[in-house]
Amino acid sequence: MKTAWFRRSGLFYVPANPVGWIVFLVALVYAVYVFIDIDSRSHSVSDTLINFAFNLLLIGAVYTLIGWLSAKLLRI
Amino acid sequence: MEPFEETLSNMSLPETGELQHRHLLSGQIIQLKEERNLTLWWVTIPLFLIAAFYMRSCYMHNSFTEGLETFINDQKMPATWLFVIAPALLIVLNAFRIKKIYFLAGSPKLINLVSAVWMNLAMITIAVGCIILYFTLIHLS
Repeated sequence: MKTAWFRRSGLFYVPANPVGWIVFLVALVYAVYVFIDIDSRSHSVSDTLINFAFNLLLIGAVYTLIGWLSAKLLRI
Repeated sequence: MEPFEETLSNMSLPETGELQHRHLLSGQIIQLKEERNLTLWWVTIPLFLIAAFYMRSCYMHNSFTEGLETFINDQKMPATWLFVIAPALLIVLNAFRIKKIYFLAGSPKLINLVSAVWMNLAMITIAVGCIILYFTLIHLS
């Protein structure tokens, strides 16, 4: 039986399965890594936050794409 | 006396049709909401860039278009993805879903359709705006 990786809650996809949790944790760890990397090269707090916000949006967009594709594949 | 099979077919067909129709329509509405979310996430990125360059133009006293133009020319591949390819794909995705809802809802009045899908139409408009902005800046540079 196929089970959904994520459960959509408003704007976000909440993990609902071990695979979903793995995807979520990978995204979280990557976001932390990106923050540390940007912070080590930036010149001010605003510089860090502006660049990190852009990367965080990209990570969120890719995560949402995975959630949307997993829901779509489940329906097929 | 009316044949039993004929009575049964007259009774069950419209009911089955209605149930299938409702099931299909609810499925399409769920997908419409999912695609609205996806579009919102992907459209937020170019909007964030536009807002960032606009704010920089206020503090650094340089032109807004100049900053965005530099980004588009220096980062050709990411700029094309974020301002052209992703918005174009999302426009097609949302447009197809709205078309399906229009037919499954039995060709409703324009006002009813717009009230149901206004968020998706707004997303499509923003995506079109991103594409227009990209090509205007390419044309200017």
